Amino acid sequence: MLAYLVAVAIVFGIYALLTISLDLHYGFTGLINFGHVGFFSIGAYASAILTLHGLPYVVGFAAAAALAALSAWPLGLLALRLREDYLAIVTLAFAEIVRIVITAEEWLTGGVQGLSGIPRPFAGLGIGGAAEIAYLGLVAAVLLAAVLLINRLVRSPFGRLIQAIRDDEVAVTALGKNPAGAKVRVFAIGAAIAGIAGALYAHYMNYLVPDQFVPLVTFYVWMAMILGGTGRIGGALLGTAVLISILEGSRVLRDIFPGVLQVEMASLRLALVGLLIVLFVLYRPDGLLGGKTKP
Amino acid sequence: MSLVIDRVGKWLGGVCVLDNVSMRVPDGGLIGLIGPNGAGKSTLFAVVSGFEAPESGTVQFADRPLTGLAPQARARFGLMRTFQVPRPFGKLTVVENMMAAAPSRKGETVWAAFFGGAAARREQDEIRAHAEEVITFLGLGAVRDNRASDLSGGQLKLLELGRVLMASPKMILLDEPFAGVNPVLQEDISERIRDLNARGIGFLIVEHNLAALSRLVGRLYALDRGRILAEGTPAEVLAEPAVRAAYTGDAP
Repeated sequence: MLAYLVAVAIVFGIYALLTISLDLHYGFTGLINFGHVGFFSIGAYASAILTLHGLPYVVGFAAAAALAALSAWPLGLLALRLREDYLAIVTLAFAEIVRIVITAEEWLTGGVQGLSGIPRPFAGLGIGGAAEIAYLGLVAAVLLAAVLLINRLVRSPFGRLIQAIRDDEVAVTALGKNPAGAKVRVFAIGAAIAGIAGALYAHYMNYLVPDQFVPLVTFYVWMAMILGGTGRIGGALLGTAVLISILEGSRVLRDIFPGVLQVEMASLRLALVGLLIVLFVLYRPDGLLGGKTKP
Repeated sequence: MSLVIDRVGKWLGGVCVLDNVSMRVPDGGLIGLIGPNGAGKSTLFAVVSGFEAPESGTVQFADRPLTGLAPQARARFGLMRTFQVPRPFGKLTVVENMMAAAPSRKGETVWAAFFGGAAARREQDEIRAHAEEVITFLGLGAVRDNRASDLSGGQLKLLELGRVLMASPKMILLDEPFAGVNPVLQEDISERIRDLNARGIGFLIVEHNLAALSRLVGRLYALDRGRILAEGTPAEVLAEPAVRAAYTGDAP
């Protein structure tokens, strides 16, 4: 049971990193990023490949953050000059391109076979659970650092600027400020955090295949953010907890619906999350931590 | 710091919206611009503030041609505008709206968020003090910590004016400052505008409320179908048959 809880907590931590970084993009800056999984996968493969070649974890994690941020930079420059809905399309396409490139470039990524034997920090502590708990400690520390970083950023004058951009970009322009620069920076910072989440994921799973990086991951993260309430770090964490509870909790659904097949369970689970989103949109459009609104 | 609009022409979708429009707002002037709906007033504002590019003609501010300059650059010269439909930063408070509008040299960077130190803090303290001054001046003190999205229409007009003031403007283009504002607050806004004008800030004001505008400005331009119909004191312009015809829809 403890091992299971530790495993769920690690998955929570990784998803929470994705949700708070998406919240930095969308909730605080208004950037509609439908390709968050792209940064996640770049970080995962970067750290996996480098550590498989014997480089230290620190290098792997640094490369994960740097490559994800670097991939966000040109994407941002391209799309942030366009209207915001174009960013949604561009990022969606970007994440799919990343996945297809990973699938195709077998020499580097193993293609559909994927990468296996990715080393994990603290693995030397044995299999008695200590290694897992130590890894959870690493995930928790990274999450805490990311929360503190984003919190500091959004409460700073820069944070006020990006929230102004979110609320009305034309007004920011009319006041003599340049939204594009701030947006590109936020985009890169959020991508770097997603990249680190990818590295944590890669070393935890020990293997990577392209199928782990389908668009569904992005939409799970969006769901978590919407459930918790956008533009609030606490909301992002709470929303992630709710999402993980549903995804994990729906395992027990099989006991409630004994006739349902294993493969159908996945669909049932998605339907459940979908239903929850509909209920939230109707009754709590601002999320769990948002104010109560009349339907 | 005068604004010179010289023979500006603008077409939108095959329609001539501005036809050789020339206007001049002197340094520290207080000028009104009237015209029926669709006359081209908002397009003229968009051209002057850099949100639309004209097909012909030039706009000069403080003897500097503005051709090709982005809205940000024009605003930084001190030529600022408000919007007909207010554009508040809805989720930010009134104080935050003001502070976000202030030009910030050191503070508004990612670096300063973590390593700004005393210099960035001092700058923010100055901006906060300035914001409090502007809020007091505009009488928004009671709602200073409210979210901008909760303000009334009139308060939003004041918020827009306040944000512009945060950037120390030389000239303000005001787009319908009285629209949807109750008469008491209208008088209040007029009083603030006079006050600011006395401090040397120039104004070009688009307004449909001709009575309130006539009391405020010394000089009026009347625009209709992209052309300047008349120019002069409010009494002269409003007595002009062509202007009356444009408003009533009769042929002059």
